[in-house]
Amino acid sequence: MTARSALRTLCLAGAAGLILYGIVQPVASEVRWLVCLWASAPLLGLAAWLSAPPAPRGLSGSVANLGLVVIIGFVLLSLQLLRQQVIRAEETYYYVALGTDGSTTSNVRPVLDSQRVLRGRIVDRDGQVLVDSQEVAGFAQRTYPLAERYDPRTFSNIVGFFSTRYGSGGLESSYAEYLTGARGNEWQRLRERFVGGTPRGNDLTLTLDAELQARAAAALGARPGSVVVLDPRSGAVLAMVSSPGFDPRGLSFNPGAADWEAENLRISQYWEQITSDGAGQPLLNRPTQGVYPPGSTYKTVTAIGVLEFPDLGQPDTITCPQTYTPQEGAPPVVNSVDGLVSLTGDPSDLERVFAFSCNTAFAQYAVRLTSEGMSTIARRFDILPPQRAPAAYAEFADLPTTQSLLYVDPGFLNLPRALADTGYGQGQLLVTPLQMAMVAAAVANDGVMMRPYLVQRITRPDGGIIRETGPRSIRQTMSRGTAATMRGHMAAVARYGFGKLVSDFVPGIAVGAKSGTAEHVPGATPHAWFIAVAPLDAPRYAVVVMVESGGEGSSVGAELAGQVLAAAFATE
Amino acid sequence: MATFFNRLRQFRGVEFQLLFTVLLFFAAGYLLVVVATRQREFVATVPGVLSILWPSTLPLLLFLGVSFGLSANSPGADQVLLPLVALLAGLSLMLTARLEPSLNTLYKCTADDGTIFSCYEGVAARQSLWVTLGVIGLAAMLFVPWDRLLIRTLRLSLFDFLDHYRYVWLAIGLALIFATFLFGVDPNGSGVKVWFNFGLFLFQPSELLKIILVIFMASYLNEHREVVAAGYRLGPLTLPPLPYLVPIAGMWGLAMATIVFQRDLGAALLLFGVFLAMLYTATGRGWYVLVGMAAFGVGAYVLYQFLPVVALRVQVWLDPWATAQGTGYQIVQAVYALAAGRIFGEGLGLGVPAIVPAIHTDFIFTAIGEEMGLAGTLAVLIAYVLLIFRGFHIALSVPGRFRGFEQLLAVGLTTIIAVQTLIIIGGNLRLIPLTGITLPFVSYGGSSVLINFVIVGLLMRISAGVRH
Repeated sequence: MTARSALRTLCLAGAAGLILYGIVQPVASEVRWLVCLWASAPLLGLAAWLSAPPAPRGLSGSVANLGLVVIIGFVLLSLQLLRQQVIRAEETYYYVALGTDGSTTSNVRPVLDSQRVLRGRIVDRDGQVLVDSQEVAGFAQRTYPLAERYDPRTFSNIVGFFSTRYGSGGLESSYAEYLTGARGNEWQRLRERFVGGTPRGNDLTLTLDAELQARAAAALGARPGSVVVLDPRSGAVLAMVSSPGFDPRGLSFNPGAADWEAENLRISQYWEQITSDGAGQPLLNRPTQGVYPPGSTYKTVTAIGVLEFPDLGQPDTITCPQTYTPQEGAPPVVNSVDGLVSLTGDPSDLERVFAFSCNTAFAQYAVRLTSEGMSTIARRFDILPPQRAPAAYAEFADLPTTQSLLYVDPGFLNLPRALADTGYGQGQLLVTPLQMAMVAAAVANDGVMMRPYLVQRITRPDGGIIRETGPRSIRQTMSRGTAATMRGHMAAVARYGFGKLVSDFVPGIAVGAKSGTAEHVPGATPHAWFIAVAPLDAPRYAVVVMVESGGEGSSVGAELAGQVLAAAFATE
Repeated sequence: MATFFNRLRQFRGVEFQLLFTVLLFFAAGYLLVVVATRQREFVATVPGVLSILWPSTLPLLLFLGVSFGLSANSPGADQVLLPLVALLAGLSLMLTARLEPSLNTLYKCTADDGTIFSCYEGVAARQSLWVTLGVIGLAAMLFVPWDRLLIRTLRLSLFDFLDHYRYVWLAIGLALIFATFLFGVDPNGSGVKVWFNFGLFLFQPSELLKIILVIFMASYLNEHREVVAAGYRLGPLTLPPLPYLVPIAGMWGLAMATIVFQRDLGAALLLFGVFLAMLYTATGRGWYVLVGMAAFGVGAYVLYQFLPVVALRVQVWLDPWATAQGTGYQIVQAVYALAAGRIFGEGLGLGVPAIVPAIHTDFIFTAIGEEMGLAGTLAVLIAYVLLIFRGFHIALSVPGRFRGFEQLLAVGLTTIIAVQTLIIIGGNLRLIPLTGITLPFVSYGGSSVLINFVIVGLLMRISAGVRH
């Protein structure tokens, strides 16, 4: 009898183990679950047979065993239902299958649901409605009131797009749960389920200034590149331009159209147009997803390092030779402008080599700081070595953001030449324009780097507030003293250095700046960079502009940054 | 006065209460369906509600009529079967009423003259008709004095009559099979020629065949129940005695022939499964079943190698996603529908079940899963379990020594419902390869509904006979 109950326990445990292991298997390995389930069936049968009192011989015993088999069958059905309808339901619901012929199959229900929901509005900081929804013939349509005043392509990287066929992008994607009302107004959703009515999502209020965004985009024009304007005191994103953009109306289905086939064709044609090779990747949000060598704008970070570690860096003991050889046998570092020493003086100081952007001087600083010092200071600005870097940058989650990297190949900074190149913003540095804007903003904000944010408020259709985002600091990146000194050095750039062109656009306002001309492909036109903060005594704006293959930072970059700053002061 | 109290004592109270509950369930569900799918404007007055409910509740009211009739006629018959059947049939009416508008908008057919019409126009009304005819058939099984009629003409009671003419039933069954091989049509392009076209309606002979074969097998196995021969030697193997070996071989051949000639995997699996269950019940020898299953497995494997339809079903079962736009479409859509249901379902009339092809026939269980969720599907499973165990209970309450035929018949008839339910729901849920058969009482389809009611009629008649 004890052997019997031991065997029974063994069978039950085996069956339970198989079922527990199998039932959580992902949808893709369903066969593994089926094997587990079928393997558990005889075990369950044996366990039940052992625990039942010995059946009388004859027909009643046979029927009892037959009933046992039937019951096992129904238990298997129930377990499969439990898996399909509860445990793996969520995953299955959104499961996209790739057929052997390359076709994809997905559930039609999420699409139908999305067509019934009036997604919430997106409004700028002044309450100007950028994106809205309206009901047409029983279906929801996404509309773009912003197009009445501005070029809708200048907002596409922010608001993104919403298509029943191609999914969504931008805020439509990252705030989908709030915009559809799946999160935030569950109670209202429940009521709608029972009494009917068109579900309405929640509204997003942005920190964006639509007027500034439009003017900054106009200044950038058709050139591919980025403009970011932050409020350094709070981290609020005032403008974030990515060029080229796309027209989100081209992907918005109009249910009121007479011919739905033609409407679908229009959308698929526009999709093919903007995803084609020659379109210049308009779906990419360059300020947060584009990674580039920062060029001389990165000297700001190196200079901060020199000031934070003065024993190593010795800021005011520096020269600016035409060439500098950090490593025997490797080609020397060469200044891009001949005779720079006549401008910086010899010996020079940090302010003058910064103002005239002397590569050989910053190469020497980097070698003095060593790879450790350079990594430490970069890490304070969330520019990380590749070993510990996540794929996405978590401090800005409103839009997809790439992590900025100090270098790519492990051990790169151990080579003195590589370390020297990194010091003046070349090497293997890959940073996003947003990250450089955050560096400028930290200098402007007494060293405190604020968390950038784009969505300041989420409100229910009835006006109740679901979530409010305020200023939050990431960390103190440098001492207040260092920040003040850096503002002085940046002011020198805009006063007499290689960035003085920027001052022409904002007469009477003191600006701090740094230009950058970044080599990316040998022989190609370099990327033009420019960072600026203004007004210098109490900065309200931190600006970064970046023009892909745009030319010299000190001319192209300074001019664009000047126009953006002028627009920012004009729209106040 | 005494007769009145006698009558009152005979009143089938349990059955009446259960039927009344089912009636309320159906009325609420049907109202919800009609309003949710916007077939009728809902007017919250008594005449408004009644105008929606009146013709549709007729089949359920007939159930109540049968119950009253039984109180007078055979008060000892089982009181649980009828409410369970009414529940499932009511569910069927509710679901066809819910699915018809969706089917009409989704599936358009083109007639020979080029006019476009909805393929499934009128399925709800026709299903009501089938259920009504089914209840009438059930009443005919119970209230027509078959015993008196048959004793007068043939000197046999109903069950003796069924027992006595077993070879006649076998002949009719085989004739039906061959007739299907020869005259079977395939009206809806499913690749299975298993219908007879009678002009007015289509009839599926395999439905009738399963009852006829169960009657034959019950009779045959009952006669040979006491065989304890040493067996039949074939080289080193000892095979079952001849009276068991012949039907095993015969049923195996029949099942394989059904697959080869009709491509009807479901019917083959069902007939063979029921046969094995009855063989086991009659003999109590588990290894006969194992031999039978092994033979079926070998046969199925050979057919898997040579018949593309069998291979296709297995491939779709193992990986429907690979051919999600083609052969796997139906099962993939069913998987999505079930996942959409979660625990409490999307709500009656609020899902999109009709995108699963054959949702009102083979895949009706997924419609329950989508709109009523796990709660609904488990409730339906429980209803079937209760129905099946009630059937086994009836079989065991028959005194087997004298009425072995009725006992085996009850087991066989119950097993039909059990195996059929397991095969089709298992196929729907991707537990086994999909084979197209109906879900008893719930799926749309005339032959299936009528035959299932006859099965229940026979079971109730057996149970009524026990306490006489």
